[in-house]
Amino acid sequence: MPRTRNVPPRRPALRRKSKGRRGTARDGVFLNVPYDSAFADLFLAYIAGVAAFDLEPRATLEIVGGERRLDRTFELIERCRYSVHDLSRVEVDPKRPTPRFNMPFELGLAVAWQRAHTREHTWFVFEAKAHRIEKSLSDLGGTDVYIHRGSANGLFAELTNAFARTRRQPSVRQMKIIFGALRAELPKLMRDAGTKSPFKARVFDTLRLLAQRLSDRSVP
Amino acid sequence: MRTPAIIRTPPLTAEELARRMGMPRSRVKEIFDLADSIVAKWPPEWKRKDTKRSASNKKRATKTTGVKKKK
Repeated sequence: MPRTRNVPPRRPALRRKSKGRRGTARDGVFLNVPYDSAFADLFLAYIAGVAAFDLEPRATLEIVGGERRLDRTFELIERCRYSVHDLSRVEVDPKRPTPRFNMPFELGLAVAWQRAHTREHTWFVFEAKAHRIEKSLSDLGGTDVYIHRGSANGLFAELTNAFARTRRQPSVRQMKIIFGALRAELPKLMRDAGTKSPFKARVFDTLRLLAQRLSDRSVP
Repeated sequence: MRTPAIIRTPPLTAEELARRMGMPRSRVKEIFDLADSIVAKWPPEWKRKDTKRSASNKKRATKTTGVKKKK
């Protein structure tokens, strides 16, 4: 399938020299991914891969407190330079037959935001199976869809295509190293947070900080 | 036409990250220490090496300039 970008490729923003020794905040990547245990490995792979590009993984998991969830989600998308929407879990779970529409809805929010602010936001769609999106979300016909085939390696390869214009360009091997470290640490991080799920705010915060630090120490 | 140089700025410090993420500084420090302990076990080829250019920049940055001392 010929690949067409949803927005024209953009040169990375030149970083201005800040005063003194203050660092620069990374561009954020809003991760719109399913929060289910079968997706845990790919969730870690997204965090590792995005951090390897010197980008900051963000997700609705960060949203805590009483403020209206939709407002916070939209605010998060607005603040992020990129968003990644993984639509690989479109099947209906037989145990819970009500389909969840959060992910396509959040993709819709990102598309609307990008239409209004072309230079400020770029969204990417990821899928496990080629051509399935033509049935599940035919409105996206002609959009560049990144097919990871449900594996971390496939995802890393596709991330290098999606983020080909960013300043830091890690290799798939470097992403795998960071991913391996996150995977090894995850049980302890979950234990420390008193949870059995990686999809919790505290675990996510730790994972993304850890991934960013590891990326700073390994990717030039 | 000359391509403008991309100026690399240092990543956020633990203090800046803590403020930005609304986390206690001690927790950010703890995570950084964990990352450093992981990196310490890595073989050298996995670790980031300073490029020639960044090494020379570092040298330039640390070079002292000023008035020569009178003898």
